Amino acid sequence: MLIKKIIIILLLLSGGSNNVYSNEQFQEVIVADPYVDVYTGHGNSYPVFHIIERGETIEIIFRHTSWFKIKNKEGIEGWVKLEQMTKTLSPDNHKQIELQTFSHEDYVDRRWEAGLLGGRFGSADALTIYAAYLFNKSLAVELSDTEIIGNTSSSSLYKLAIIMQPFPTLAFSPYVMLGTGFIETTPKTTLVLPKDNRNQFGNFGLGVQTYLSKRIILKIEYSDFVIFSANKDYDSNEDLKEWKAGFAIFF
Amino acid sequence: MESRFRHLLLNIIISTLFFLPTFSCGIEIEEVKELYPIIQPEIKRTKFDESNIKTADFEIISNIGIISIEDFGSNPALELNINYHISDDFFVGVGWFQATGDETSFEVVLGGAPLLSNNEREMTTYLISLGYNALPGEAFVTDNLTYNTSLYITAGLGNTSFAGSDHFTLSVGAGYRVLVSNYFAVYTDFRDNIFNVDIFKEKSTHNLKFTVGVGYYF
Repeated sequence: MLIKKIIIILLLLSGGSNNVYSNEQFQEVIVADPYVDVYTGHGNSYPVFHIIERGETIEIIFRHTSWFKIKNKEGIEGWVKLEQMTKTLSPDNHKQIELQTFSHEDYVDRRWEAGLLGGRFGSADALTIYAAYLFNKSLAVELSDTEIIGNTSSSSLYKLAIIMQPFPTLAFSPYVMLGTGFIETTPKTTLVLPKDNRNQFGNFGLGVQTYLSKRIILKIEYSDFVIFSANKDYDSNEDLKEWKAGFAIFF
Repeated sequence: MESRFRHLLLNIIISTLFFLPTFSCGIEIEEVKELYPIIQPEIKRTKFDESNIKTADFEIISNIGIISIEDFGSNPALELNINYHISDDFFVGVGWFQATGDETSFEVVLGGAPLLSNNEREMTTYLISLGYNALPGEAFVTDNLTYNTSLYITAGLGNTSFAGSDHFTLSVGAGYRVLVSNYFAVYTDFRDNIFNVDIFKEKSTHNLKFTVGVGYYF
């Protein structure tokens, strides 16, 4: 009974969204290669079930990663990969179409970058989420939030940093960063510790990043934090080190 | 009486089907065509413009299921995920889920003061994860109904707020995705969220979660 219900829901869902685009007008292109392979799914491992010949016009329903769902004149729907799609022609001037792809060059010229990193902050586990804006190939400003989960307390660290990447075109490109911000520490409830506190810090960091593929950057970073926690009871500032690694996506 | 009731029920069902646009769209269009033979203007996008092609690399998934919180019983879990599909192999995602822990057997048997307050029993987890579509495939439901599927594995890091404190969380799991249409997917997802708690003494806990969900690509 339940299975039946699920199948009915599935059918309705698929029917419902088919109707959404049944009357829509899609972008058309003309096949210029001797033929284009049409796959049953978006991946090289799916079988090729149809071939579209040179000169045929196809409609592009939508794009998913580097695959295109297409429909030909007879209504056959399937998936075509980016490499073959870029060799099709525009219907008006019969020139080869241009589609967005990502290369090392796009990575070097990127404007926005956002990423996630995990690692160790002092003796605690830490997670970082960040966004960066690049003024040019080698100068960027970054805003980040690091959540530090320690045994006795957890902290949130908010940082604004300037990043210099002197050799942006290198495969493994090094960078330096200078940052500041504040850290908020909350003790764990099971322990009785001093009250919540908030301190400013200064930060110097070094890292290396590399372009993986598509829109992905991998990076590894080392940072040194001087937390200005000195006050009338406490004589010295804290010095903490952080190691982290993760990935970023650029736009 | 019974037949009147049946009649009423049938009427309700029929009228619902008729008014819901997604259900009745196919029928409606045909009827309209028969009544008013409108000449549809042939609009052709002759010029190529990439912005005419819709991309659907992001996905929002809402899940519902059960989480077994170690020592605190099995409880309903509500979950929300946003995934970004980088390639046909990899996807990254941020996820959030919430559940509430029950009483431990210790509390039930011995009675007395509860170990945790009601607030402390609330479990909230944030995760960032990386997924890999390990086994893409197709499911042949009937002779002419085929869905693309994928068996994926995921690994993630995050934070769990439970028992009054934050816990660094490692999450590993696997799931099955069925693409029921161009923009919708149905999920079954199984995950183990591992973190340390120190209520009696510090120990590593495994919190197994099983959910089903619906995803929408945009």
